[in-house]
Amino acid sequence: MKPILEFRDVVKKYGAKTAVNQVSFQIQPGKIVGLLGSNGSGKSTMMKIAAGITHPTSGQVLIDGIAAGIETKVITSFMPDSSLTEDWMKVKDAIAFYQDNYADFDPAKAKDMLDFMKLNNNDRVNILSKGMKERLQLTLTLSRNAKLYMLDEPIGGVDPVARGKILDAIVEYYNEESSIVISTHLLQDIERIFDEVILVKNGKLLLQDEVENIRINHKKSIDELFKEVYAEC
Amino acid sequence: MLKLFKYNWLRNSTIFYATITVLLLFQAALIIAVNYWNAIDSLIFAMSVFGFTTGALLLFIQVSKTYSNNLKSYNRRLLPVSPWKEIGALLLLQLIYVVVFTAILVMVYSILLPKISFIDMDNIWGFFDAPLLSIVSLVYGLWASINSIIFVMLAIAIAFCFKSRYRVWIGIVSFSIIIGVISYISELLFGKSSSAGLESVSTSQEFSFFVSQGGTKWVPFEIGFDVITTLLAIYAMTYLMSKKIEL
Amino acid sequence: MAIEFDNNLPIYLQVMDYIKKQIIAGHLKPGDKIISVREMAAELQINPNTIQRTFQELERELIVETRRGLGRYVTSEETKIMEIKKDMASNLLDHFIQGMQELGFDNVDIVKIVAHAVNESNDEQE
Repeated sequence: MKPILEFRDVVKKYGAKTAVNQVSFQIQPGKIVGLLGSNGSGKSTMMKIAAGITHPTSGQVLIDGIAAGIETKVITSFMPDSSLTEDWMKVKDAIAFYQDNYADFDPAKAKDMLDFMKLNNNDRVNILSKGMKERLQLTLTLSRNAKLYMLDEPIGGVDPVARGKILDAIVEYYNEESSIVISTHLLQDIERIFDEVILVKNGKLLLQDEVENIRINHKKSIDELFKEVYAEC
Repeated sequence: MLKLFKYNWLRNSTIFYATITVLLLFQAALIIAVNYWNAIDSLIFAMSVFGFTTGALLLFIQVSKTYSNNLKSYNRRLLPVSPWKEIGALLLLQLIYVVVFTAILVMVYSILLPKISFIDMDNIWGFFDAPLLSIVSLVYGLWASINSIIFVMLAIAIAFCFKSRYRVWIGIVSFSIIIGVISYISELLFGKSSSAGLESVSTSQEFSFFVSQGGTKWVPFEIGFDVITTLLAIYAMTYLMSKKIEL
Repeated sequence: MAIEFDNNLPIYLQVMDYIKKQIIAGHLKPGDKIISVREMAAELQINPNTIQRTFQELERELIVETRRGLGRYVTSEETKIMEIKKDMASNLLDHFIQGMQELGFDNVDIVKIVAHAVNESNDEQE
């Protein structure tokens, strides 16, 4: 089966610093994958490379078999740690922006999600609380029918209620033909949503495995494993 | 590209309408002053020119800021569009602004200028009586304003290739260097000619019909040179946008 | 509604236990239709593939059966259900007895303590 996302010997350097160091992996369709690492481990950079907004120094990145670039932006929906909206926008403008510019945007899905997240069309984006803003970003990202979804720290700094809604939305909108990659270091609530996890440290890939295997073989939760691996960070 | 333009427009709509409104009110006040209050006409003229210059500058800055924003915001960078479309959408914005602005300018000055004692209206009406000349001047004015924003955008694109704090300065320096080099080559090739130089760049929006007539022998070559440098600038921008600028 | 799961142990086993308890307690009756993988994943906030695996295991143990085109159903075999009940009870008992023995109680004591505790809980319920 063709992997939805593939990294082949990817290296990314910023001057003397190596952010991503010879990383290779594959993610199959229909998986929810956790991309784990402490701050500065390279996971955000990896997501940006897959999203096509940063280019690797060397190596290849393929999304559904196509090299990362304009064609893959059509099938990739990325939610970065920063804002996806402009200050002048209201919620409905943000939705319209996505609808106008992405052919795979599903307005019905968006409406459902806005209701579910308790967002109003006429709210100004810049007066939303952090949690509400996060819900909007997620709505925009998941309302597209993409092949690869990537969420960079979707639940960081967000209240438990919003967190619950975000996790619900992720599970709700899962489908077997696409995959979701979630980068986070807050594992307790989220680890039971993952099929697999990929651990990166200092730009290198440490481990890629199914979470249930880790629980069976190592007899610990992903949260525990994370704490062990990143203890000195 | 039109969809990108829509959002460029919406982003700036409040400031655009505000600027145009204030400009119109200001100019209207000046017209009333000269008509009914016997104000000093040279002063009024100076203030009017000042008003238009400020308005032009403001709109020019808004377009530049919009480009700058589009280069560094995620919602734009994630779009599956080629850099050409992004650039085109911004140039379209500039074009619309310039057209509206010029229309207001013409409208205001057709009322105001006759009242200004030291302006010889015969010269001006004579200019409009040669329709080809006025059309060419208009087109040249539009071209010059598009041209100038392109070079500013290129400087911004160059600045964004760097992540340091000083990238604003890098942008300013790049702009100066590029303009300097082009002017130098232009002078070298065509001599000092006032009709196609880039000296009119900064105030081109306002003086679209104050272009003086220089020698006509070199004009096609100068136009060609202009076009080539502009196309090179756009190509450089698309290259930088696809390969070098990263978030 | 998110049930507490222990992230240190395989989740699919815990979901299996949860469903078995539902069956024994009568919330899921023999022959009842089970909600879909999606619905259960959404309800429990768990990965759908994990739920899928759970169902597959339950099918292997003949606790759940798939009827083509109709969905998944709890087995109607009462004997099977009794079997589950006995298995779960025996697991509980084993753990309990072992725990009590670790505390130092001998078998006679254990029986007495259990009898006493059951009587007390009967009184409370009346």
